[in-house]
Amino acid sequence: MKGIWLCWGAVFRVKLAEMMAYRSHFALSMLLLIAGDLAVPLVTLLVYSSGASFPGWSLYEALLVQAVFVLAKGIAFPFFFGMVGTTLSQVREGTFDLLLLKPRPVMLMSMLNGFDPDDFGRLLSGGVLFGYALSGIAAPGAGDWLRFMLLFLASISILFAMSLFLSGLLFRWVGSSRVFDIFDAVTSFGMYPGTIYSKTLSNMLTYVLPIGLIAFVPAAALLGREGWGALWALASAAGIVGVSMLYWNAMLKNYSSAGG
Amino acid sequence: MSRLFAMIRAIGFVTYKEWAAFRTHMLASLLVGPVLFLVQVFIWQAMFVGKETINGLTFQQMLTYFGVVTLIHYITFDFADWNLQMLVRSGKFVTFALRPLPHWLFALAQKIGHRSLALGVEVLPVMLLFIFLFGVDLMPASPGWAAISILLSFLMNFFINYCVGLTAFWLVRAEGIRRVFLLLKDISAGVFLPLSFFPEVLQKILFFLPFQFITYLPTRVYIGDYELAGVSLTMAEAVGLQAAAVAVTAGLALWLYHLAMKRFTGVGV
Amino acid sequence: MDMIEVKELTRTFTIYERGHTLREVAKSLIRRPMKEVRAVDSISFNISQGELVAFLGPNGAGKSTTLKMLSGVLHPSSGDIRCMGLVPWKQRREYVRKIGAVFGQKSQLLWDIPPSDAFYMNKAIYGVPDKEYKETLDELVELLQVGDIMRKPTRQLSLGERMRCEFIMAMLHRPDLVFLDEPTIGLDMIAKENIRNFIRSMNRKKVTFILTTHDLEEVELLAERVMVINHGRIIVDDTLSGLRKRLGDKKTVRIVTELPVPDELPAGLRIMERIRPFEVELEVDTEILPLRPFISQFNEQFGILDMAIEELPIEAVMKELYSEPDVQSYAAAPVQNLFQVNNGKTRSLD
Repeated sequence: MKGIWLCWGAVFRVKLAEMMAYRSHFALSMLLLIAGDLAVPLVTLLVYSSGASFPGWSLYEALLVQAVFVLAKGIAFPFFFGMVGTTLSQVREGTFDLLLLKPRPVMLMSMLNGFDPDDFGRLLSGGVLFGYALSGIAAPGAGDWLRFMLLFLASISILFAMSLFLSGLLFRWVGSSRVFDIFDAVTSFGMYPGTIYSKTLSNMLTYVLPIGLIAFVPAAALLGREGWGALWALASAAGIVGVSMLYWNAMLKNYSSAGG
Repeated sequence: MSRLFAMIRAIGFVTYKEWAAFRTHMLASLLVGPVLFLVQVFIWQAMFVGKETINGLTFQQMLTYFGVVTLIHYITFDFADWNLQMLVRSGKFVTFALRPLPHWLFALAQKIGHRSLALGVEVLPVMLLFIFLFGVDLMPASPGWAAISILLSFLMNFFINYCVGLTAFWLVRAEGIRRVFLLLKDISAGVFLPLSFFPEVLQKILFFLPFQFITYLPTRVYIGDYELAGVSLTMAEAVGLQAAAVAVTAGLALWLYHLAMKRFTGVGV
Repeated sequence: MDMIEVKELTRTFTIYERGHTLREVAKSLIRRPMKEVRAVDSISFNISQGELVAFLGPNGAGKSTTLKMLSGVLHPSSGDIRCMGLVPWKQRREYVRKIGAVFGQKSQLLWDIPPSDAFYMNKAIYGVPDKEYKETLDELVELLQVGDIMRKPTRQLSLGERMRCEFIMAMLHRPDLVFLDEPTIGLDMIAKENIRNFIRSMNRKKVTFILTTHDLEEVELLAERVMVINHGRIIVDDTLSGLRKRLGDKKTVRIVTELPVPDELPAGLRIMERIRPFEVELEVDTEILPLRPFISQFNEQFGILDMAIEELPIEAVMKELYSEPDVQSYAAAPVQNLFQVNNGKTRSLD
């Protein structure tokens, strides 16, 4: 375990050094990433200001869902989502083999390789948006905060599982940058209040393909709309993480017995 | 002239073949397009509860707007910017500098081949899904103007993306900038929301930016009425304006290309 | 006991065929014809510690596939590898700690930052203790003379400088076995010599090397043992001098004569090339026709004006081996016969 932390530390240092080689680009790219994350909230703002709204959701409440979404990405993207990009390019170029030559778990190595400090910008934009949304709603109680924290863990786990599913897919579906489009499309369900969907779809998004867990459920908990029962989501998140890890390892095995 | 045409055809055909092998990448659109559209359907369904129109558009018109936006996106999509930046960064651009054909023309020919494949694999299936699954009205108001406008949008998107790609000759590493520029381009083009939802001041600015000519204008021409920043245009006027904008952008792209080549041969990026 | 034992190692791939015409392309949209290819076909060999073995073979012969299986990157379809007591693809993590690899065409360094930073990262990944890391690094830096080079960003280094750093990257954890895949590709003579000296000095310290290359000079300078792989099979496994001897004791003779040399020549002589009417290149098998009688007979018959005698170059040996068609009997037949079969063909060496 200590070795893994040392590894992470070394990679972090190296990535910082890499970043410093392009300081100005780093600053700019971080700034623009922040702007990018605020696109959907901006659209929400524009729609609300033209008099329309999600029934039962104030502007601040709707923005809270999107803020949680950006925050979750702010953690997922720098730490592990980068592995999708790593597998994408390295499997295509045939350099993924080099990761297999390292005496560490391959899953860890590909996450380390995809580590990207630029993406910390999302934490900043998520934080600002989160603060703004909170300023417009009644202060949540301690219980709400606790439920929110726990469900936020589930949110991160879902993104973790999605990274593994997409990255695993790329061992077979070599070089397809469309995985990012698929990610954006599928997760776009999670950026809006879950109540706008039909009952069936909304159940699917909670229990089958738990996109709702990324942002809607934690945000609803903070708004006091979820009871302790919602914490079942933690179990389902854990289950999905398990499945995704099995899937990824199976795909890796497939790769190392099929690659050219 | 006919030699040029033959060249473009040959490059287009090779690209078509190249991508035919990766058709599953395009087929992903059959998932991505309808899923994104489904989200829009639910959003607007909720928004339209108890309302006839929002910002002058009915629910049906709103769906048509997003349906057409999606189709235009697939027809005019390209990654000329990504491709060019990759060539410059990896040093492979030099192989193009040695060819008796400017790279931008090569890239355009590639796009033509790539999108011809997309017509069958992406555009048509998604269109059928929209019409029969979602019941969207996709009948253009005047097919002739709509076709010209989409063609112009095809060129517009290419020249803008190509300009973004050309920045690689000056900026070593700019993927972040590119990603977000393209996002801002999509917002300003009306991909996320009709531009008429933007505040008056922004609408005036957007009217003079080139981005509306990629998505917003052709979509409104498709639907049959154009209005932005308080300006209403007939179809002929709108398409004429678009043609002028494409010409200016093309000129700009060629000028930038010229500067880039000077830099390339001078500094040897 | 041998360090590496390979038994009947086989690897097959499924490949898809794509057409050329529009019709074939359109057809392949629906269904792609598949074909199974044996990249490596039941090969067996042993390598002991401290050896320096070269894998030779034409492009696509199965060298890299073999190398990938040996390094634990690829699973074999069947057969067995036991290396330092481990099965590479099953005990991968334990195994790769003991091996190193340098690929001439795949960089392990990080493009935008100095190699020294990449070394530091590898130290953490391999869990090399500080003291050992420092000692190894100092030693390698000294040997490869990269003192100031390794603090410059990788993208500013020349290919030769970069390759030297790649070697450090691969050797920092003191591997017992190192795979080199075309390590000197594209390098100039001096850079090549640097690298070769380094490999030799590491080899003297009992590090085992397995090398693939197309550079025959490199093989002559480095490897004691050569395995020639073609069509997925090992067709020769011998020392380099043994490989030469298999050809018999042959010389090439370039000769200018007063009278034209006819096509029909006595046993032991063969025309390789007619350069001009009165100038030919001959292959002389000195076991059948020793040089002295050859010269006197030839001088009597055709009148020698000028001549140059050379060893049959190793390139010629390899070219013969590489151009073998994929016929089962050739691989099964002893190599000696294989050459006799080929010697019957005229002009196959030009």
